[in-house]
Amino acid sequence: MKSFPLFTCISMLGIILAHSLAFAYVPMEREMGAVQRIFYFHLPSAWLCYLGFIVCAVASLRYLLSGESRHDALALSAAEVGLTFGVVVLTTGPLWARVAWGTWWKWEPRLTTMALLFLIFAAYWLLRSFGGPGEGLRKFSAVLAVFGAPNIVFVHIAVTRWRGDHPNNIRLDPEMRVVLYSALFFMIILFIQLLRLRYQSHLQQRTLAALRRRLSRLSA
Amino acid sequence: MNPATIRSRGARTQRHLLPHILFATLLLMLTIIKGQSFAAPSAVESPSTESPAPTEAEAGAEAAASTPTAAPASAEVSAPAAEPKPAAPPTKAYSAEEIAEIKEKARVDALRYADRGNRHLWIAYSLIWLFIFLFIFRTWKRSAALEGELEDVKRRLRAIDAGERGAQ
Repeated sequence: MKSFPLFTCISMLGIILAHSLAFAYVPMEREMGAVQRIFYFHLPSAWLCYLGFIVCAVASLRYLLSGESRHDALALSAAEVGLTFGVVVLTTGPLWARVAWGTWWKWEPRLTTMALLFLIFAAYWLLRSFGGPGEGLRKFSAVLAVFGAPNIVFVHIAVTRWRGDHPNNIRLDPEMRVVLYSALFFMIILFIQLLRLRYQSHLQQRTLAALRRRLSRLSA
Repeated sequence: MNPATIRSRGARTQRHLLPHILFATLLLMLTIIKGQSFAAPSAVESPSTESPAPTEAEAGAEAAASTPTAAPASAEVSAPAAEPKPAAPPTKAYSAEEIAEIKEKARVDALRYADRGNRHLWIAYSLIWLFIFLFIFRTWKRSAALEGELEDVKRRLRAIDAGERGAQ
């Protein structure tokens, strides 16, 4: 826990620095104008959202195969972190779309599949939050995560396969690439720190529950 | 280890960390809200997909266009046949709904380059990051509290184990 303030503060300050670069260093994009600067955080958030859900699915599969509680804790933590970045994607996207497309939302392939992916893992998280601690529920939600993660492929190919309006295969100037990769780097650090924190928290909760049961047996 | 010491240490660490997180969040919000004033339309604009070379090409095109009398014949010979001028669209009377739609589109288009027109957008965007940072802080605070409780339960279990060994 001692490293938490250091790396988390580094990532937070790094994200602030990336925002400064996005506003002061990068020139304005010709077609979208000022609102295009959201892109430098919208795209990394989307990638990290995918990463969170992939980690959740892999950890869920390992839990189903081995039955070890720590894999389940990792799956739940990864889903929470993936949902956090998913919220960033699904809120910054409409803010950008309002100015770029003139509407907050369009039922075009990428947006629709992304919303579906988010809802699947939101269902996973709600099941785990309100469904109780039973073993059966954990396995049910693990199966949901394993079958929900392949939707990421549909989100990725949605624009090319179904001719959506969402921007795809964008060519960037060197300054834009610098800012994009800087933002991605610091957001990856934030992702790792958040995942580690949630994972430790879930493991501590289980350990605490087990020790309390033992304490109550010994006290009785 | 005394649980009271753990809790007080955790509380001191929280009090130490909270101002830094609040300061970082405030700094981020100010950077975002103030930073959009850097994105003035008069700033250097570079196309997202073109290299700097087009400026030279544009200069070359301007130079060629500035000397029309020099080589009109050669331009006619070398240049491809000019496309026929498209016919002017027929005039039509727009309905009130169409006029409203055109005005709305023009207003939204104007927002793209306005310095202050989309301030609400940046405020909403900063709030997103504020919630993210608060989530991080809440997660850390919960983890620190759990650590304290774990130490407390372990201490009580050790006390019970020691009491049982003493009784034996």
